[in-house]
Parts: sequence; C-alpha cells; structure tokens
Amino acid sequence: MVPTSLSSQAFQILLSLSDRQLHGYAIIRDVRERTGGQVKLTASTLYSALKRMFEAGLIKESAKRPVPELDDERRRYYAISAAGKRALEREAERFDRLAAMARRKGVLRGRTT
Amino acid sequence: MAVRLFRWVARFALPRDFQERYGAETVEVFKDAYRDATGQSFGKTAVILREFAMLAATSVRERLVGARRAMGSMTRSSVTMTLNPEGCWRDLRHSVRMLVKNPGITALASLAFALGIGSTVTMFSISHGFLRDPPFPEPDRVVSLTRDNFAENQTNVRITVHDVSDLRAQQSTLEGVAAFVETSFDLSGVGDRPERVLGAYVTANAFDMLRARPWLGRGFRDEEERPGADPVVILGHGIWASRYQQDLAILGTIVRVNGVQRAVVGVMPEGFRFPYIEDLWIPLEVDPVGVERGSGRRVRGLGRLREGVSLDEARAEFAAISRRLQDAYPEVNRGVTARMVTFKDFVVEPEAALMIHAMVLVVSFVLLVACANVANLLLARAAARSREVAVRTALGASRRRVVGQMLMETSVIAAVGGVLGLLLAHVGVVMFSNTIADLIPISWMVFRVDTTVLAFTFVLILLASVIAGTLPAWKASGVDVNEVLKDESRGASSLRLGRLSRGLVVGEVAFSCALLTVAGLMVKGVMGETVSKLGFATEDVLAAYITLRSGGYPAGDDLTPFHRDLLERLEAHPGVRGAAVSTFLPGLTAGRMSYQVEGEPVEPEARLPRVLQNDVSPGYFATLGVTPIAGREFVWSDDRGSEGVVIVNQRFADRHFPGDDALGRRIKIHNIHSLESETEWLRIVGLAPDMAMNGNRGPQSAGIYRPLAQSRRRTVRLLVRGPADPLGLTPLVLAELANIDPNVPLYEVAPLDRAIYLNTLPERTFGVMFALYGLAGLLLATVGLYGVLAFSVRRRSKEIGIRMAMGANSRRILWLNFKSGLFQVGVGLAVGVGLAALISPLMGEILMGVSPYDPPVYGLVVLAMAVAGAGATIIPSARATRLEPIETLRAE
Repeated sequence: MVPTSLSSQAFQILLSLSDRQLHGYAIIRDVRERTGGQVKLTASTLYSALKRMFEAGLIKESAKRPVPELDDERRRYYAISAAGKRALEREAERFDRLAAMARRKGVLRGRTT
Repeated sequence: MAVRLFRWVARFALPRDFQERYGAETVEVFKDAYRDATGQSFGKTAVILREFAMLAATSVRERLVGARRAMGSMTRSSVTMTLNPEGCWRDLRHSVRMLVKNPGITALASLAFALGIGSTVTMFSISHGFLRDPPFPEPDRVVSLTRDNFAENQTNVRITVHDVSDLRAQQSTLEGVAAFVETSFDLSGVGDRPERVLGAYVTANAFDMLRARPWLGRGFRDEEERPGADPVVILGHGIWASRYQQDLAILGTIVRVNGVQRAVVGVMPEGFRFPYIEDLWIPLEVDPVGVERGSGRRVRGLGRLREGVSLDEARAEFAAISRRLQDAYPEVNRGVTARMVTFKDFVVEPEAALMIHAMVLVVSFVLLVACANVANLLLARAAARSREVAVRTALGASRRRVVGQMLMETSVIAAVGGVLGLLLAHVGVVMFSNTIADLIPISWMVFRVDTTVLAFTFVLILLASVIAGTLPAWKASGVDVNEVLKDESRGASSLRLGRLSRGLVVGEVAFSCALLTVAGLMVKGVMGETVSKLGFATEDVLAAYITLRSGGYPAGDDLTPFHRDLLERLEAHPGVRGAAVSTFLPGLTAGRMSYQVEGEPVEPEARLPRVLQNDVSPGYFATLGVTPIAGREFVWSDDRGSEGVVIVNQRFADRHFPGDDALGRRIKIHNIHSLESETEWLRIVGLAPDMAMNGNRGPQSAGIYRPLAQSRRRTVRLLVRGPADPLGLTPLVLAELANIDPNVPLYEVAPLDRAIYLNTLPERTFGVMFALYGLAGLLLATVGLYGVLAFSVRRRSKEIGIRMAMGANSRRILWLNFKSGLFQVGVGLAVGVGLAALISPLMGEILMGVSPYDPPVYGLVVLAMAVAGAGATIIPSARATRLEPIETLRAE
C-alpha cells in the first residue's frame, strides 16, 4: 500500500536516506541539521515512523554493513526502497506544484526558478 | 541512570511486537541523544523531557494502531495517521472543567498524589544521589582490586606491593594495575603551622586508569614510584584555590607534606577527587625489592578493563594468576584470591545498594496508598456521574472515548499533584542535603532534584494516573445504560462498587501498616541510641585527633613520652578535670579481637571468641567519670618493658568468671590484622563497668582495655574533660601541643556528645523521614477508610431508613456499619504485618540492632492503626444511626 501523501517526518526520513544508508541516530542528526532544528525526532517517534514506513514498503533494512572498523553491531542500517524513492519524488513534485501555484497567486514571492 | 529508566519504561510502554523489532535500538538512540546533550545547559533536561513525553505518545499511538488493526478497521494509511490532537485538547478542556466543578474532590485527590509522589521522589532523589556514577569516563570499566582469604575469614582486604608487581607482570586483561591508599596529610608551607588535608598515595598510572589529566602541569612519572625519586606532589583544584589562591605559578613551589619537602608538579581539574573526596596526591612507592613478602604497606588496586574485555573475563584471568601465586608462595599466599569488582560496587557495595533500593520500594507504598485513595474518590464520583456517562453513551460516545476522557481527568489531577509533590521533594532533599551531606565523605554523592529525578517524577505521574484512573474509568464506562437509567440509588448499586472500594481500603491499610512498622523499627533503633545510657560522661568532654608523623617520630618509636607530657601539662590547668588518650573514641567505634582465656580449652583460630577492644592511657576512666568496680586503672609504668596487663568490663567477667574474681586471671589476644598476631599472656588488673564502647550499634558485647603504651598506634584520640563548654578548652590544648611540638596538628575537634550525635545522624535522619512517611500513609489510609464508609452509608441510607422504620434499634445499625469497617481494617492489618515482616529484614543495619520482627513495634503499629481505623469507621456509622427514616425515604 503506497500512501497518497507522506507525513513530514516520513518525508524527512526518506530525504535523509535518499543518497545513503544511515542508522537510527544518524537519521535523527541528519534531519535535525538539514531542517535547522525544525524537525526534531526522538528515539520512539523515529522507530514508530520507521516501523510504519517499513510496513508500507518505503524503506528496507540494509543487508550491507559498513566497513568493519566503522561498524557497530547493535545498530541496524536503513535504506530507501524503490517504492520509497517513487513516493519521495512524487511528494517533492507535489510540493513543487503547490509552491508554483502559490507563486502564481503572489503568495510566495522571491525566486521564480 | 536515565538510560536505565528509559529502557525500563520503554519495556512497559511499547507493545510487544514493536519492542522485539525496535526496542533495543530505541534505547541505543536515546543513549546517543543523551550523551550528545551532555555539556549543554539544560540540554539533558530538554532531551529527557522530550524523549519521555514522546515515548508516552508513541506508546498510546502504537497501541491504538495495534488495536485498530486487530479490529480490522484500518481505514487510513498508517503512515499518515496521527493522533487526533483536537480530540485530546477537547478531552483536556472538558477534564479541567469537570475538575473545577468539583473542587473538593480535586483538591483532596491532588493532595493525596502530592503526598505520595513527594515522598517517593524525595527518597528516589536520595537513593539516586547515593548511587551516582563516579565522575570518571566509562566508570563501569574501572575496577578495584583487593584480596579475599576465605579460610581466614578475610574479605576485601588490601593487597601488598608484591601483589601489585606480581599482577602487573602477569595480567593482560586490564590496561594496567594501579594502586592507591587514602590517608590524611599534614600540609604546610616552609615554616608555618600544618593544616590537615585528605589525600592519597597513588601509583603513577592511577590517573591514566581514571582517564584524568592534570589541569595544570603534569601527572606522575613511572620513575617517581621508585624509592629515592625526587619528592613531588599533585594538588587538587580545591586546595589550590583555597590555600594557594589559584596561583598559576604554583608549579615548582616547594611545600611540606608530613614534614617532607615536595615540589608541586601538577594541579588536577576542578571537581576531580580521588578515591573519594581526597584532594592531594603523592606517588606511591611500589618497589617490592627489600620488602619481605606478605608484609609492607597494604594498598588497594585499581585498573581499567581493556577494550573488548568483560569483567568476567578479567576475573577469570586474575583467578588463574591467584592460583599460580598460591603455588609459588604457599607460605604467604595460601588461600589468597584476587577480588575484582567495579569501582562503583567497591564504593557502594551491592548489599548497600540493595538496601537503598529497598528504601525506595518501601516509600513507594505511600504512593500506592495515595493511588488507592484517589481511585476510591474517583469511584465514588464515577458512581455519582454514572448517569452522565450513560447519557453520553446513549448518545453514541464510544467506550474508548469515555475511558480516555476519564483517564485524562486523572492525569490532570496527577500532574497537579506531581508538581506539588516535586516541590515537597525539593524541600525534603534540600533539608536532607543540609543535614547529612557533609558527613558523606564521597565527592560525587550529591543530593538534588536533577533531570533524572524529573524524568522519574514524570514516569510516576503517568503510572499514578494509570493505576488510580483505569479502574474507576473502566467501571464507570462499562455500565449497562438501561440499568443505570432505571437505577434509583444514583447508579451506585449497578456499578457494584462495594467490593472494589472495600478491596482498595484493605490495600491502603496493608501498605500503611507495612510502612509504619518499618518506620517504627527505625525510630526505635534511633531512640534506643538517644535514650539508653552510654555509661560515661559526654557533654563536658572535648574530643580530638592527634597523629604523630614520621620525621620526628620514626616507626616503631615509643610515643608514650609525648602522650604523657601532653596529658600532664593539660591536667596541670585548673579548668581541666581530666585528660586521656585512647585509640578509639568511646561511644563511636571499638576494635574487635579474638582472644583465649588461660585454663579454658583452646579453640582453632577461626572459632575463638571475640571482644570489643580499646587501647587507653592512664586516667581514661577518670576522665570519662567512671571508677573501676575492682582493681585499678592503668598507670604510666604499664609500658612495653613491664608485664602485659588488661582491664576487662563487667560483661567479660560475667561471660568467663561468673561469681568469681576476674582479677589476676590471664588472657591472650589474637589479631589477624596485625603483625603481632598473638600477644603474651596478659594479666587482668582491673574490672570496669559496662560502657557503650562502640555506641549502641548492634548488640553490646564483652570488652577489654589495654594500656596504650603497650600498643603501637600513631593516631590517637585526645579526651579532655573540662567545664560545661568543652570547646572552650581548644585554645589551651593547641597552646600546650605547640609547646611540645608545633608540627603536630589537632583535628576533628568536637564535644564528645556532638561527635557521637553526628555519628548516628544518618540513622536519625532516615528514622525521622520514615516516621513522616508512615504518618502520611496513615493519614491517607484513615481518610480513605472514612471516605469509603461515609459513601457507603450515604448509598445505603434508604436501606437503613427502611430498617429503622421496621424497628431496628440504633445500636444495631451502628454495629452493622462498624463491623464491616473493622473487618476491612482487620484484613488490611494482617496483610500489612506480613508485608512488614518481608521487608524489614532487608533494611539491615539501618535498624541499628532492633530485630526486624520486634514484637512491641508490631503491636504498637497494629494498635495505632486499629484505633485510627475504628475512629474512621465509627463517625460515618454513628451518622447512619441519626438518619431520620422519613427524611431518607423522602429524599429518593
């Protein structure tokens, strides 16, 4: 079941995983840094979201491990799935369309690219 | 601590399937976040509050998702589903409105929660303070090394320098073997009067094991462990700041420590103390060459587990090394095994930690009583509101909504109570800290309401809401709409509340009975200490320590001339009524020794009888206002050159020479802790009355006194008896001491009664605290009992009215109600006594020798509770008899 729209947490997590595999705390840090602290995940909300995203087929647990000296066996690494990539792209396009509409109406000023 | 709490809460909060897949990782991530927050102001608090709050929200959400799925009605995408914040907000507003409308019940319930949460949080803050991690990185990997010899009944005794060098040579599981021994030093500049400071001898690698680096200068070098190295010293930040005004040019300065000139080579960072509170360090010489095996200075070992090595692996290796050493040196190492525990367990032994946890457990009973109380209040209200609920249900509110709404009300009450409780706890902890924190000689044991305590309070509020709220909510929401709307007695009977609230009352009575009993035992122990006579003068006696250091007084030297000179000078003053020195302060501590009596069958060493023991100077008994019953006091001629003599107390004489004269008999003393393992035969020259040699801790035992001149102690306690205010003698003692030797410091100067008082202050404090907790529990239980019975009388007023109209007399009505109340109290007391008997033995030494099954205390508590219970029962029962039959029947 692929959802029609993503929650902002799910969107941010997919964005973090879009170009690399990360373990739990690294996701939290990445999201926090990218959003300038606007989206703060906690341990429980992160795994609650990961669980649902996993069940919806948006992410997968990575089979690959990092090089041994960086590895920590207590951590699992998560990667984006093909469906997750599609959902992320669709969501980004949707935002883009929404932003374009807002701009046409003069609600959103600024760059027009 | 916060991590452990998080793990524990997560285990309860999260549903099982979530737990299995993500539980461990969730905790790991929390750990990371918590660690990263260290060092930012409020960072930890923020992380903890956010994590715990979201954990609670996730718990609700995951469970709802699970429930929804089970019902097969999952309509929305699970990724986009969120908790409905509007619904929550509406519930919250409704709750606050309902609570404001019933200010009486709200206030009572909040106060009950405040008492319960306040008591528990206070005790938790204290236990958390005791069980804090030592301030070293990765404290769980720092281990201490001592030795056991079970054959000789020795555990956890210090190791020798030979042990240190043997272990260093053979082990590979630790990063290194360091050693330390804490002591106190005389610190002075060149030419000024010495100051007493706490310090420690440490090996050069000790700071490396702790991952501690000097803030200024350098640490010790390996070669400074060897004899003949340049004498150096490292200062703690505290001494550097207080004595040297934070002089940045301190490095290289020469100071005198115990009379030896040493160069300052480093200053440790602020807050660093080792091993407990010590603030000055000197290299420990570890050179086994020239030291005979089995003798020499005794030290404690220290190490840090190598990366990837577990404590068990290291223990296995050290056990193997111990066996090799036993084979290699059978004469000194027979039966000796290495004992390795984490440094934290070394400081607070697991048994002590268990006792501290037991105290938290006991106090949490106050909270349970409070929860039962609140549950009862809410049940009563639920009955009153059952029509409202029935109407809501009839109009289509789901049961979940109704339960959620009522739980929300309980949470609001619990939150108000929690905030009040936190304030109470803050006051309690500050008082506790002001009273006894200074007496705890361990720097990192700090008592305050910190982030972990806040998190704990938050969890308590959640738990309390669930415990107190679920039952009433469930009961109230599970009503049969038709029944309630038909029911005339305001819904109470259709809820079948009777049995439930009676059960809660039984629980309340049981828990407060257990709590009061434990408190009573502690108070009895403390009272025994205060009331019972010590058997000697204390108010007008000045007590202080004197240590004669090497330098002027080489090891093995006879110190008697110094003692005699000082005492004779003091006694020459008109205000002084007596002066003496002894090894131990009377009423505080005493030595313990094995002995045998001449003419009695010889037992193997381990089975010899033991006595309390003190080494005393001439004039000791006179100074304490005590006259020997028979024989004489010691005189200065009882010295090393003369015959060995001993004075025994009355109990000793009763034990061995009942009805016979003890004078002239001879005993021999065995001391496994000293080189002099067995003395000559000592002749009994005096019989002293029984005095509380080691205070009133534990059972009193037989005791003996030996002449100080025949022992080798370097640190002695000075006792001077003077006029009413003994502290006024201090300048005189200082002056006389300086006349003999200006380099001898006088320290821990206090009136003897004050010293004895301080020594038992922790027990006293805990006794008072537990008595307060017990009273809080009793108050809550009494109010609860009263409330339930009053409610039951009101509920049954119609029945009572009919009975009276039919001719039942008022005595019968009274008895009917009274009986049911007393029955609950009786059952509660029986359960409570059983609980108390289970818990009290865990309290160990805190009871100060009172038996955990002490009949008078149990009897008194049961009696007090029975009286309180009867009182709480009789008032509503009596009210029932005053009901006018006509009135009650009309009221319906």
